[in-house]
Amino acid sequence: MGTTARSLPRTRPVTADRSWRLRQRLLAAGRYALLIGFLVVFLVPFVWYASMALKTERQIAASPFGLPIPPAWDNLEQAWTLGRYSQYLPNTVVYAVAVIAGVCTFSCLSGYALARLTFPGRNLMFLLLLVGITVPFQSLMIPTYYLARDLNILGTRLGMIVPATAFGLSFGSFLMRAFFRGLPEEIADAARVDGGSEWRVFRDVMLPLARPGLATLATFSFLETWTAFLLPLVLVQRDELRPVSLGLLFFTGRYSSDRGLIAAGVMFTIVPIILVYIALQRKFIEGITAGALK
Amino acid sequence: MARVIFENVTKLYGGNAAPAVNDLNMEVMDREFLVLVGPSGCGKSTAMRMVAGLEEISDGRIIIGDRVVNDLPPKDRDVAMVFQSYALYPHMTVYDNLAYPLKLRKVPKPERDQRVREAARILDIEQFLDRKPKALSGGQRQRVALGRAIVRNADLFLMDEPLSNLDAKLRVQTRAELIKLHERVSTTTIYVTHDQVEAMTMGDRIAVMSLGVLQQLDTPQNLYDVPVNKFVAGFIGSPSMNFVDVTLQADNGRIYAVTPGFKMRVPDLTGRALEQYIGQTVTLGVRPEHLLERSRLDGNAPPDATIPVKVDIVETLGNEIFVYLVSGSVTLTSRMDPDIKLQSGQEIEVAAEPRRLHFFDPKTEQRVA
Repeated sequence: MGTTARSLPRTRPVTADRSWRLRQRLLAAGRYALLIGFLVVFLVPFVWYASMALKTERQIAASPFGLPIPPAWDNLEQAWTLGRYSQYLPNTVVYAVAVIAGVCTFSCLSGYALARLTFPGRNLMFLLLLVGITVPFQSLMIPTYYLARDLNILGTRLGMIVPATAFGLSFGSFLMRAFFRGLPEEIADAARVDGGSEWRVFRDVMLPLARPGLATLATFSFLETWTAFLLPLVLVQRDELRPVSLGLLFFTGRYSSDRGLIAAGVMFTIVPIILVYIALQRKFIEGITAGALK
Repeated sequence: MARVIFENVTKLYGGNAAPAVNDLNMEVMDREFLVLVGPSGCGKSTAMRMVAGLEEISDGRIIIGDRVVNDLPPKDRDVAMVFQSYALYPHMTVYDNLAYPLKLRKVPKPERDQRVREAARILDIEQFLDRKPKALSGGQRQRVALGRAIVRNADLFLMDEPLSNLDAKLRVQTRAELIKLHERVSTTTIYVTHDQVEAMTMGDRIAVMSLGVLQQLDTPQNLYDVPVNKFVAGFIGSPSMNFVDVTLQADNGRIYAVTPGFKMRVPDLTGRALEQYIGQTVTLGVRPEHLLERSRLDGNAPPDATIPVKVDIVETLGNEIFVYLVSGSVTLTSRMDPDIKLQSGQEIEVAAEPRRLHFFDPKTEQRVA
């Protein structure tokens, strides 16, 4: 009796504890399974393209999803030469850097003005910016072409940089406005009382605080410019000024296309994006989640 | 150093019918520590922000020193301000936070350095100069915010509830340090708070505000002794003043305050001012610390000048007791010595010294005697 009486209180909590632990483990396993599922969905195309980049056309036809054994390293060299990447890659870097600089500079200024300054027509201006985000590029392609021609920038680097910057400003101003609105007003007030003009308040205090937002905007702008296809196709007509995205066109003929070379070209295009994302990852996540709490 | 004059200052926010600050007239003397006090939304912070230039003035004038500052931007007003949230620059070190106002004023680097280190020494934050604000405690941040104000040698300090984010102990300590600091630098200071203890302990004079209107501007003692209206009487003092609506009756040449629960003789001196209210209702006010058990009153009160009450609840605080008393439908609070042994249900008589009784007009709420 004594033994039973003593053992009962011991066994019950242990059983409850075990089933609780089991439930927790199952839940964790379920969560991981789901996450691994997502990872596979996102990684499969990438791995598939990476493996295709190292396969000959014959290997792809024989086994589209098979591993590249033996790897066709020639593909990379051929794609680099045929796609004129040595020429197009620097072009794209120039476009990306210039567009990021332009979009970040002007978006910061307009975002700050829309968030912090009061002037007539402020809300209307913001509404127009929102409309700008919703209009697809295709509907503005032809007018943009004529505008670039009239400005005498068609077929020059500016012919790509100016329109790409302009198209990035709607979203950029929207993002930076939201960011500046989230910063405490008292800090700006303190700088004003300390003796700062509105420009110094912006430059010395508010802009450094908006760095996560800027990193997010820079990442988005980079992605947008690097992968832009229609815009350079329409506006950049000289071969020596083309960006990498247009290089892929060389791998497609009228009646056939070399999938191995296309895949290798795609790799050249996306690797810099991944590197930039890794570099700005922390700030980027801070930026897109800012304002989610509080 | 500077005096500050508010001349018919009004602030009206768009969309609001009632002004946030309504026709404010007052003068803050040179080197004075003036406290603006009142409940939330009374317009005290708005009044201060107008002085700083952070709010536009809808009507009237603000004069700092000899200059009308209505149209001057904050940077040209030579005022330093401490904010409730401290508003330190999070991306700058403590040193840079202190040096920034001097840098904006183009103070040469060696002088800037010397002034920053001097302010840091006064406030005992020298060891934190290389840290960023996030690595500081609330009290240390508060000191940096103060440092940023004193490093400027500004004409005027504005402090907007600078202690309200500190815990109770640190608040008391910092309050004393602020008083010492003011004695040392003697800069004209306008201090906003909703805490009447802060107001009473720190201010040379206190301006009590309610609903955008200045109610009374006076020394702490005068506010306590002679409040001009029911609002000030109720706002200053804790627990707040007891208010009872009484009818004044004349009887045998004397005036009595009558309620269904008691009939109390009004002191002769006070009564004369109340003659015009005989037959009417007025509000009687008496502070809890002045409502004493009859035998505790110096010289004992005459029997017809007391209020018979029943003890409802006794709260013991150690150094004093709060006694809640009932007389008919009226509830009164009394603050008494802890050595008085009182029990719930006990019947006693309480009274106050004649000069401690206040009478207010029930309609205008202005003090009548």
